[in-house]
Amino acid sequence: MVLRTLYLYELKKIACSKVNLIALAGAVIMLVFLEITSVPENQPVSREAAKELDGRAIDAQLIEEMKPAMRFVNGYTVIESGEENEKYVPVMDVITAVTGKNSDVTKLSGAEFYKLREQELDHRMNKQRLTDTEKEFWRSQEAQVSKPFVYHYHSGPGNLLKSFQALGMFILLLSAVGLSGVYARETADQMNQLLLCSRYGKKELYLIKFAAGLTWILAAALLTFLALLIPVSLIYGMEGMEVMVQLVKPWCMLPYTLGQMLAVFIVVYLLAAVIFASVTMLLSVVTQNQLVVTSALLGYMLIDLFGELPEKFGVLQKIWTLRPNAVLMNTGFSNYRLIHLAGGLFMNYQTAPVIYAVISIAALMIGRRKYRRMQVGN
Amino acid sequence: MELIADRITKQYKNKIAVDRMSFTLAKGVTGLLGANGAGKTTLMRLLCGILVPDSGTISCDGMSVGTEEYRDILGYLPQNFGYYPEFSGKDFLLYMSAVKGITGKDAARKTKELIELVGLAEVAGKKVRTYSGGMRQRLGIAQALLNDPQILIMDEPTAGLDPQERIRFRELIADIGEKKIVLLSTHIVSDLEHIADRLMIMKDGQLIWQGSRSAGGEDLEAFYISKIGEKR
Repeated sequence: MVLRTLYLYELKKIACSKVNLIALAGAVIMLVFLEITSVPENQPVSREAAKELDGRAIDAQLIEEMKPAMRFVNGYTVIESGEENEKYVPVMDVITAVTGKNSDVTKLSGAEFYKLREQELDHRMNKQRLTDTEKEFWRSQEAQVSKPFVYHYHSGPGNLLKSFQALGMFILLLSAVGLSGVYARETADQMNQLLLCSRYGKKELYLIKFAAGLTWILAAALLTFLALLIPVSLIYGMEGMEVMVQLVKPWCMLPYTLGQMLAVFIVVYLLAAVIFASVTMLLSVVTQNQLVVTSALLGYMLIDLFGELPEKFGVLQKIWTLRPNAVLMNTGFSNYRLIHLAGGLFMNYQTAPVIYAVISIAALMIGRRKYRRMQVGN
Repeated sequence: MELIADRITKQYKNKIAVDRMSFTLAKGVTGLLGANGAGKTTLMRLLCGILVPDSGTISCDGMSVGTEEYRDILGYLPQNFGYYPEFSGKDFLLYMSAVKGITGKDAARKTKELIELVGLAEVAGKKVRTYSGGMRQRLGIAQALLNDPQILIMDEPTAGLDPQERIRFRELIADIGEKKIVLLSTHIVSDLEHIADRLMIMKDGQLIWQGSRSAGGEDLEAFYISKIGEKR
């Protein structure tokens, strides 16, 4: 009962903080705004037109059928304007995702399309220095991907899947702003003097603060996800969950549907929120300085966005590609590096959640040790 | 019940804040006098277990200051403390009740009782950020009393209180001191004249005098100044 009361008050401290509310509202508004303003780019033709070719295989026949509507202009292959050609636009997007936007698709044959994809997959696996065993693993996965690809309308789930990287960045930002003061603020406000000499102030309070912080970040993760899901559902609809993921991410070699991949991403996203929150709160206990924690996390965010480790860094590079936003970003689908463990091979989508959970638990334990030893005015 | 400090020392880099202090506190009000920087706050923090001495021990009836049992019978009012801007005065006391392990109904009853005792009933629902310095000080006093502490440690408790409030506070402390161990620090000697049973005088981290209040005579201020001067 007492601990429940304490938990509710700790949650109130976080949730009623003006800075946190402004940051959360700002994130929600930004995500809705970004989704609405990207409609012309994400769906250049009407939903009806985009559904016209539903169920058609993307094969030699369809590509040949499309060719009269194609033009290669200024280094780009485009579909000529006209109501009768609109239906080809979404299929063209799938094709150019493989061939590249600057290639001349007017000269492409159906067989070449899949060969081109196969060559590029081999090139990417070699570039990532995969061993023969690892390549074999991916080829066996790829063998389960049905070909030719079958086109279905998928704008809703497709756009949602592409937006997870933005969600990952926003949740890191919300964690840095909202949770950096969970422990540090008590020191800054000189409240530690009262808390640390109270019965539950040394052991239980640490865990309760941690639980309140996790609750806040998971609620924020859910709200920001809804800020994407609701406009996406209203604008595009959620048809296409059963569509093969390759229509959106052609370099993915997993035989999954968009719905399955979305489920994986939601789990990774929630665990990313947990790891961001755990590390933020650990830094808050260790540094006892909110500004330092926020700055450190914002610095990490910049490195996360722009920093890339070359392949030659081996294990370090492998670890770097397991960071939450690398897994959630669009290129996460083409990260084929595998983790060898107990005789098995594990993909980043399998390894990352386990690592996030382990790091979060470690952060909890280290912070607890530090908090128990904390002194006032030392 | 006795609170025993045995040769406790606390040093900060190149300054000894508390230097081999030994004393025993028993039931009654003990006044801790000393100039600013004498080490009073450090001593009080050590007694509250929020600062660990470099050497020496502090215990109460066999309980070490680091234990939950000890914290359960302790009330502390620091010299300065913050507040949660999003909390009302009542929220603050209910929160502190929970931290002190006081359950639902008892917490509500005790909070109401103390809000009335410190004269904050009319503003209990208002945010603490709207309180004056004196009101916040009274709120601090209330939180220190929430768990009916057997040991009450107060650092400059009368700071910010107006004359009328100070008189009320002195009466309250004198009352509590009849049954419990009370240690209060101040540099306003007159605060202790009528309520202290014992006195401790600190200078440069050392306990330079301790004894009964009556030994200080009628003019406590003169006595204090003479003791401070003696060591020079």
